Amino acid sequence: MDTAPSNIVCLIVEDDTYLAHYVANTLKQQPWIVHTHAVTSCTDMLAWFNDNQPDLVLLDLELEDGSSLPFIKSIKNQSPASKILIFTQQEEEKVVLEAFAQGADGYLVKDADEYALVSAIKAQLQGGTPMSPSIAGYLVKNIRNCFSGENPLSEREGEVLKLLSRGCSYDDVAGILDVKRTTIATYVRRVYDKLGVHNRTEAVFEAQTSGWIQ
Amino acid sequence: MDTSLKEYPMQPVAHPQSLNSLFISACLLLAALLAILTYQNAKEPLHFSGTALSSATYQPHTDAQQRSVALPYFAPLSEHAINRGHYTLTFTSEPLKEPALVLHSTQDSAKVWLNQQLLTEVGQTDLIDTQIPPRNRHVPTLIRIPPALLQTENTLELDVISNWETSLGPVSYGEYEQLRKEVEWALIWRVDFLWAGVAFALPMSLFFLAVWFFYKQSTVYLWLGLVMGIWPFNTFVMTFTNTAIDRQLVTLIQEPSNLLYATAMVCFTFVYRGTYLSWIKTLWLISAAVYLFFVLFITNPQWPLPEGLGLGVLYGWIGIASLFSTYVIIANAYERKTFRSVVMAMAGVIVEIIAIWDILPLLGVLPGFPITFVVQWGVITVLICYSSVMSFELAMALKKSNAFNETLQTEVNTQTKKLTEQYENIVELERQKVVSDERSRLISDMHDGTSGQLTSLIAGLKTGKLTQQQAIQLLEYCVRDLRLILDSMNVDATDDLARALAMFSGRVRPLLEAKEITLNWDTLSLPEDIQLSPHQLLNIFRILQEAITNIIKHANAGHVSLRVYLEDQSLHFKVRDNGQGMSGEEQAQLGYGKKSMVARALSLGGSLDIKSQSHEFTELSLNIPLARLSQTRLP
Repeated sequence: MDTAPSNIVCLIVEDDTYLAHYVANTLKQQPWIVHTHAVTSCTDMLAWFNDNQPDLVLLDLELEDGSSLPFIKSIKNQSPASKILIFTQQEEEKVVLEAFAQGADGYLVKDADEYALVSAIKAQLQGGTPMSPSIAGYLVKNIRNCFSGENPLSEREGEVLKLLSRGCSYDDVAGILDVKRTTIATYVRRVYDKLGVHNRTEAVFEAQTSGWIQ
Repeated sequence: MDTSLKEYPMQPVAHPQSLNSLFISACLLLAALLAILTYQNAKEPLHFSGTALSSATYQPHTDAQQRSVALPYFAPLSEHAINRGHYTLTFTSEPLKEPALVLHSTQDSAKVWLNQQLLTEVGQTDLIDTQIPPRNRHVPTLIRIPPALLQTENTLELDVISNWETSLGPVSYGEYEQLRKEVEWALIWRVDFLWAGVAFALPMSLFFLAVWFFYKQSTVYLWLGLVMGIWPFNTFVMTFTNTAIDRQLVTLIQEPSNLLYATAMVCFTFVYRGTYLSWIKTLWLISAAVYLFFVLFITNPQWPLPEGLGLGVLYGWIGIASLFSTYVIIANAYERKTFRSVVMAMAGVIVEIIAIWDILPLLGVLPGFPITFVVQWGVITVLICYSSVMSFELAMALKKSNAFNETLQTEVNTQTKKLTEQYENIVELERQKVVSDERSRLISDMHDGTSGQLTSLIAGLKTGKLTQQQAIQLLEYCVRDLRLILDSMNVDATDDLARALAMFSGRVRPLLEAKEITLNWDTLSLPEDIQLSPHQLLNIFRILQEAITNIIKHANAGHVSLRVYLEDQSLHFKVRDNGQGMSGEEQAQLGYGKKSMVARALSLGGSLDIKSQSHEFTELSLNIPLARLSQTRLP
């Protein structure tokens, strides 16, 4: 998947119409984007998915009719090829981890910087699963809580997490551990998968009790 | 904090009440058993001494006072008795069919000759045969006069040699039987006295030892147990090895035991000195002293012989114990006013009367009263009463201490709960204060950065002096600063500088990458336990953010490295780019941006320095000594 993306159909799920418009404009300037569509609610999003299978979904977590977190799984089932990139103001680690556990492929904090937006989307489409230092730090620190009391991570995965939590980039980690950059991305994806397997029920329960999910 | 409040090393002392009652029951059973044994023992046939005539030659004492005494029937010679004497006995009434003499001797040996024939020799061996302890030899010895002697003559020549007072008198046949019974009773009493002592002392000894051992009470109880054990030991030894025992050994055992009894009583009184009313104690101490003096010096003919001392101490102890128990009983009645204690008090009063009965005639206050010494007769009853009272007292005391322990425990729990609540209140207040401080800090931070920028932005837009590009830059600045403020308060990350910096790297890396500037982030050598306050973190973030922004805007660099490490107890931050650098003039003109960075560094207690070489590099160094960090930390 290291090849450059092309012919991408992108769905923008965003209730802030100004921002949605801005993002759409930015993306349209990219030659590899062929089509963008914007919806503002979970209902519209699900309806759109009945007829379409986008390559990329930019998904805001807080929509007009509530949180979109619980629908990630269903749209992922409906359209497994779609890359789901969370695009939100929410930065709390628990929410981020829950999104990954539900099946999200990436997580992007809203920023009006088009360079950051475009490069993040590019990285996402090229198969890099992002993990921010704060998420890595949170996982390292709360490993027992995050994985229902056990630590299912391999030693190598733990090392990767540890380095990421210190602010190292994927390239840095790959250099330190003497492996390929894609290997690091694979490790990270595996950590997210394990998190999903081990933590789904508890995380959803926690998210519900914390009011993230209505 | 919580655990230290809730861990109590103190536990109530375990008092197994069942063991207590079980033990008392066992003591009572043992006492009953010993009483039965005593009765059986008393039924043993008695041995009389001197019933057979000896062939020893009569040797009258030349220095003996010759006397001729007309004796009535059974008129003891107590009035006339001397230790050595020659008597001519003339029976004034009709001849006796089976006459006998009764010999009272307080000494261990006496010899009686009748018509120059050795009639009897009362000696040590005889006395042991009759199971009479040598010292308690107030038992009359019956001496039968062979009828053949009386048939021939009405006058008898009697010679008595003894070391001490001896009374001698003839008795008739009928009176002989009566006297025999009396002798039996006297012997029973002697034996009974010893065994009753065992019945009392052995359970008490075990009781005190158990109290000392099981209840971990004062060593006084150990003393009492050992001392109480001497009497039973002595009795057992005397009873079962009577042939081997000799007087010296008996004296060696008995006299110190008496002394120890008295000591133990004093100890016991000392232990319970706070138990009863002071006037009771005063009364007891005075009367005990009087009684002891009386027994030691007035009634004891053998004083100051060592044996007399022992005897005096024995009686002294008996008297003191009686008096003490009496007073304890009376005080008990006075304080408790229960039926049981009143009955005991009456028993105590009776003992008092007996004691007065003893003492007053001896002092010559009541001349008509017979001089008897009966206080020891009541001693067994009193001691049993006394032991039951003391056991009861002890049980009550233990129960009370138990209850007291429980009350104390409850009180401690209550107080702990109160303390915990107070502690929680304090924590809550502290928390509120921290929240309030944090709020002030946040307000000040917002004013410092975001708010000012936004105000200037509005003013700029209103006056039309700001281009769209400038407005966007200002807004981007505001958003980033807001994020730094939020990051600095991230509870999960701010407990560790390395993690907080990593979070910061997540903020700046995309900005740099968007400009195709590579970032080398090196904080791996930083220890994990450096803790900073949100305010300190924000200042560091702002300095670093400013440095990075400057690099993006002006440096035209392709690579930035940020290195944070700990050296010489100082935190070192180095931001270095490979950009165009600055000349000396440019450095001098850095202006507002640098000033604010230096001010922030100063507020952290550190120093800031910028080095640059034109067309090569720019390096910003921030050094903060750890000691200064802890001083400048805000809540």
